[in-house]
Amino acid sequence: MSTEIQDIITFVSAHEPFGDLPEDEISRLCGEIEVSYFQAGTQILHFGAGIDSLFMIRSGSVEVFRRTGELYNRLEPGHVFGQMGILMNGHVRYPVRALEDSLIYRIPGEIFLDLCEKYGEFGDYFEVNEHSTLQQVVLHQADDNDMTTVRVRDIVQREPVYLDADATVHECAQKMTEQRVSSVVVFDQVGDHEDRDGDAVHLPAGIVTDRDLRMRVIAEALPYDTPLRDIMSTDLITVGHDAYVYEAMLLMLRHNVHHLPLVRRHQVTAVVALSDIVRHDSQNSLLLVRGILAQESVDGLIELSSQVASVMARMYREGANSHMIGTAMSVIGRSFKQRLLQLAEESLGPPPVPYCFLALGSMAREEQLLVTDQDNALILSPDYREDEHGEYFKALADFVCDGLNACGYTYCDGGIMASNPKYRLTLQGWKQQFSDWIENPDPQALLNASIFFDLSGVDGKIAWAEQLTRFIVNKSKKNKPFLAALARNALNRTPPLGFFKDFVVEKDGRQRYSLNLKRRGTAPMVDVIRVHALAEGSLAQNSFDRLEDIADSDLLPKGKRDELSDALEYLSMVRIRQQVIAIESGEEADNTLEPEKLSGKERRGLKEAFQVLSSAQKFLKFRYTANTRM
Amino acid sequence: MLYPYQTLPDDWDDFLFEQVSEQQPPALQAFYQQPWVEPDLLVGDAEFVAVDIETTGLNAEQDDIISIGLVPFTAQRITLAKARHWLVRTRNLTSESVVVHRITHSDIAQAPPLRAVLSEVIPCLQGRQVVVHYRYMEREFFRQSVAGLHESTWLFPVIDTLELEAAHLRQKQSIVSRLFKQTLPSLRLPNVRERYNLPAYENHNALTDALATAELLQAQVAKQNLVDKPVRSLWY
Repeated sequence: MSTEIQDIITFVSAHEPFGDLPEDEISRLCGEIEVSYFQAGTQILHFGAGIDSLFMIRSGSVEVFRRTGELYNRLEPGHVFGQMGILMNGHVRYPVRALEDSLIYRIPGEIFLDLCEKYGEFGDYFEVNEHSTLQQVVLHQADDNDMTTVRVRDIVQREPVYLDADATVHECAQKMTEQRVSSVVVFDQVGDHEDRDGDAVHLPAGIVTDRDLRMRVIAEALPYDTPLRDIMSTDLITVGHDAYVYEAMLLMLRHNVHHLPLVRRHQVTAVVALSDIVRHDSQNSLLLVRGILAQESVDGLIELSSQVASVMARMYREGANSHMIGTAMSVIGRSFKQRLLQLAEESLGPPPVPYCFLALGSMAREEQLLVTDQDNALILSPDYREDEHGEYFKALADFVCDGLNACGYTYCDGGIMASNPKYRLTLQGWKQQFSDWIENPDPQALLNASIFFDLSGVDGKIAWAEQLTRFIVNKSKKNKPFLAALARNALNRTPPLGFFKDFVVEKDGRQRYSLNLKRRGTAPMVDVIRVHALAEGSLAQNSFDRLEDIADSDLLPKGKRDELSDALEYLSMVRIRQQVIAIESGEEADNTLEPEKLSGKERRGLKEAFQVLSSAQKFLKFRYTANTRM
Repeated sequence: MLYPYQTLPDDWDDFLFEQVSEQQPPALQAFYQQPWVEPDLLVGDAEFVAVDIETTGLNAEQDDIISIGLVPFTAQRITLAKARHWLVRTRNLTSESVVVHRITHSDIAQAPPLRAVLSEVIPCLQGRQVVVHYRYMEREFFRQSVAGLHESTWLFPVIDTLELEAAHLRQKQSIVSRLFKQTLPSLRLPNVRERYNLPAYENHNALTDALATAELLQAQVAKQNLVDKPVRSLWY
């Protein structure tokens, strides 16, 4: 006799959308069900845990929560849950708890997916539900800023594991295996010191990760009794105990590390791993970066580049600010460059002399958005010989610049690219070039050169980029004529103040009247900030960081700095929002705004931001170009 | 050695030791040497199998088994794909039992004889702690059947969800109600299940009742916090 349990079949077929399935499919499905009893108050699904079944309530009731812990839904017998996790990525997206004592059926995920595939209407039921749920989530997240409200400590799933710096790598591997962690925090008695109250402070001396064991121990064939102090990563990058998930993510992106210790009052409270963040948010920019770095061909990179826009749209919807989005977009751009350089080296062979690949402009400032051209350059080793090595670096630069162009970072109109021989110089050559710009300031020459004053190393000898930045800052800091020339250039592009009276708009390529937010807004703002930052001797590249650096100086009157910062944020966010709206309606993103589409509130906001820019420009004129105190 | 009807050994360990050392049919010998006899096996780690039989009457000496259902499970999950159900050929099928079990004479006529069914059932119980609701039925009918077929005793400690419930209810009872010997609430499977918020099933089907018993033990384990108890502390 068959082992069909008629009661279960009757129950399942009585509920949507199972009833419409053919009888034999229902029996097959019911035969594979697993049953579990959950006492009231028991967690059935933990956020981020793996999920491989669809859940159906047979008796009792459950509560579904949002990631933030807020109640999302109550479900009763016959209702299903967990479909989101299976359909999306195999991880629980909404935690579920038993509200009453409940009997729960688990339907294996493969069967569920198979049925979705085979029976359109069955699948549609979940799709429709899914879609509306997704929309609700997106709408809701836009309100409560999920990315900026979840603290990183809340997504860490375990206590940190510690070892002494004298412990051996063998002990370390054993401990990591036993505790099932991918990193240990290392303490060193020698490094301890006392805080102001005389209490001993146990600062972690370093961290050892899976990757370190592989790369620094096994690959190097070090003995098993090598102490951790010899292989650990020192110069720990840590994040505050109260930091938000997003801050941790940005730190990981910036420093390319996969583990961050959380620190509260000098004590490590936890270690957050890349995997924790990926589990928390499987569609984030970190994943895209990992995907970029894993591509084996330029074609693969081109394919991935189509995802960049949706990553930005999602960050915007989740409440990221312009600094977060700019950083993530820049890191994504940098990753394309890094991977292209690696691919170039694979096909051309290792470089004959070391080099440093430079990002210039918005990518260097970590303010990149969509629709951006590529601006880059090369610093070559002092040993570089044009006749011997010239061909190699030309080929390398062409490979990278062509690849970037294919990935949507279009060629720079002004030819500011590493493929241009003028921008492949030795460190000495670059110092010469900058000395020339700074010491003999000619506004006309500087007009196209301002982009070089935002630079950062992307790959290779990054230290050379840092040396060059220090050189530039030292040279320009007290150089009045240079700052004056730079300031004059920063006044060339004025904000459209007439905008609100009679719409100062330009005809764009598609013959629409529109306002270019980048040209008339963020770009002149960035120019203004750059002048102040160079005057102050700030090594920062990012405009917000630069504003931070000049906060304590007397360069700006009190309150002006916050005003500038707010105005830049506002203009950037409007620009980002315009791009996101374009992406989501399937149009090409650009930097323009159609004034008639603005609401009254938005107009007022823009007007205010433009006024801040205008007065900042007037102040700049007075501060640097007039014959004043400098 | 044959234990007579309704007699239980004084000590399960001694009894099980005897069974292993005695000459037994291979199927029974394999059955007795299993993890469920280990003293330190905990409920949370054990493999269980819920068993239910339907019979033509209540007297194991006269009546016949007409169907057997079993559902393997753990304290965490019941895997329906591993559930089994057998009909047994019997001559004593009465009209009353046809009504109760909805098993007809023609169903039974095509079913294998008890000997064949038992040779499949015993290996399915191997390595698993047997769970029943109201132990006398399964225990006596199994004992009788095997004694008739093999001339050996098939007797083993079981977990009885009815007994677990009775003990639990007695413990919860106030001293006053104990003094006045107030009767316990119903211990029938559907009534007990209802108190655990478990769904009402159609009764008198061996497979459904086995599933009902498995679900009930899961519920009892959760509500009475039995996960860390040794399995044998629940033996009867």
